Amino acid sequence: MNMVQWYFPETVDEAVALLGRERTIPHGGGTNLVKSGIASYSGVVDLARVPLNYLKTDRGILEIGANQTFASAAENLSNLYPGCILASALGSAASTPLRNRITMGGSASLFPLWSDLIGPMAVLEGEICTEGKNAGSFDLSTWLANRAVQKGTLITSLLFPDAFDWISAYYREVRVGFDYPAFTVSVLARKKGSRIERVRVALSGGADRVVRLTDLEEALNGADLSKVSSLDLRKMGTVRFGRKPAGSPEFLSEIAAVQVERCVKSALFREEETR
Amino acid sequence: MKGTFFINGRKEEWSFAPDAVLLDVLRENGRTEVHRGCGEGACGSCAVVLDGTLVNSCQVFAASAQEKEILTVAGLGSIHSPHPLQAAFVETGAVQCGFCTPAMILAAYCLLKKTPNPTDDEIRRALDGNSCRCTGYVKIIEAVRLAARRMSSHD
Repeated sequence: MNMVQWYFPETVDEAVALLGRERTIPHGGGTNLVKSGIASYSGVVDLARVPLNYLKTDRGILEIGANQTFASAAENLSNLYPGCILASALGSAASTPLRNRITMGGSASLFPLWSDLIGPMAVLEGEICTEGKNAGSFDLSTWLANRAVQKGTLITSLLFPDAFDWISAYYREVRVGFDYPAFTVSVLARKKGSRIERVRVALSGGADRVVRLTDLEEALNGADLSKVSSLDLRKMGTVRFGRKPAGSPEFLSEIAAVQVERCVKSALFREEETR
Repeated sequence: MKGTFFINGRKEEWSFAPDAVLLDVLRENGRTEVHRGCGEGACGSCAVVLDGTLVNSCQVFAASAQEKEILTVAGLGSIHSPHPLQAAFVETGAVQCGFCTPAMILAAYCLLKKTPNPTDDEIRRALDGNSCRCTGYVKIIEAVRLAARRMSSHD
């Protein structure tokens, strides 16, 4: 007999208090938990009534509440900042009914395969804000390196300190739309005339869950656009892959490098307003 | 555990296990118009409208759907008084085995509520979580277009 107890707190404080109990986990949209199962837990804290469903900007800082679904976040961002990389990524993840359930907080908890959040998080240098036992804000690499930090802790929002005024390109390697991406490429760029002010490139799905291509970024930052053709973007965009259903490590490494080159060129040579 | 659900406008009190998914609870209580397909959120056959948004009921814990409005295809129309989408699916031949049809219609219903005159791209995108293995999608998209035209002309 399964004795899992469901709780329905209405405030962050109530939720945090409940999550302090042994073997108790938070429930956002449930897409992670349905797959992993909840039978081994003693409590599930449903966050639907906790007021964390928001998206707001203040002086260029974007904050998205943990309860905001991918569908809502993508729609809100598309309306406010068309072309923003988060809108592209969240709006293309999984499928319509799943995007209606996947929440920002749930996705940031595990960064599951079907979430397209991790690449944009890396290039936007987003932070994960928490309350509870380990209250604070965490950058992505700290967060990924220490899963234990989540114990007794509630993700309240994701913060993007520099989310706008970028030219962006996002690519997800899938055979059909709702496939889990074999890898994703996220690129942000800022230009002034023919000068590249700043480029950020991240690749997810390789041997490391997500990696910033710092050699490539350093080669491009501050360079003139005319220098791009002399750089071996593909070589600098090459990362190691493990074996996946989508292909061998060599194949994935090769096509990911091609997509890195394409996305970088697309961002740098596209004539459009920045978002 | 016990919970209250509002199914097609009707209040229901059902018992269910704490880890039961909404799909199982609906079917165990006679709502067999909600179809069980892959059970992984990939095929979309089990889709229902939960508080106005399309969800895969196999990916939703029943406990989290308590006190919420749930619409199944049976709540849209009946054989004697079909919803324009249901009529359009029949008229355009968008139904073969019919297994995916209830969820397809609900996905289209959610689309048309929000976007009464969708483009073909918007239709494809709205149905991106629903798989059909019989007719292909040409007739289904045609049915959504037809229903959109009819529903708009009635506005």
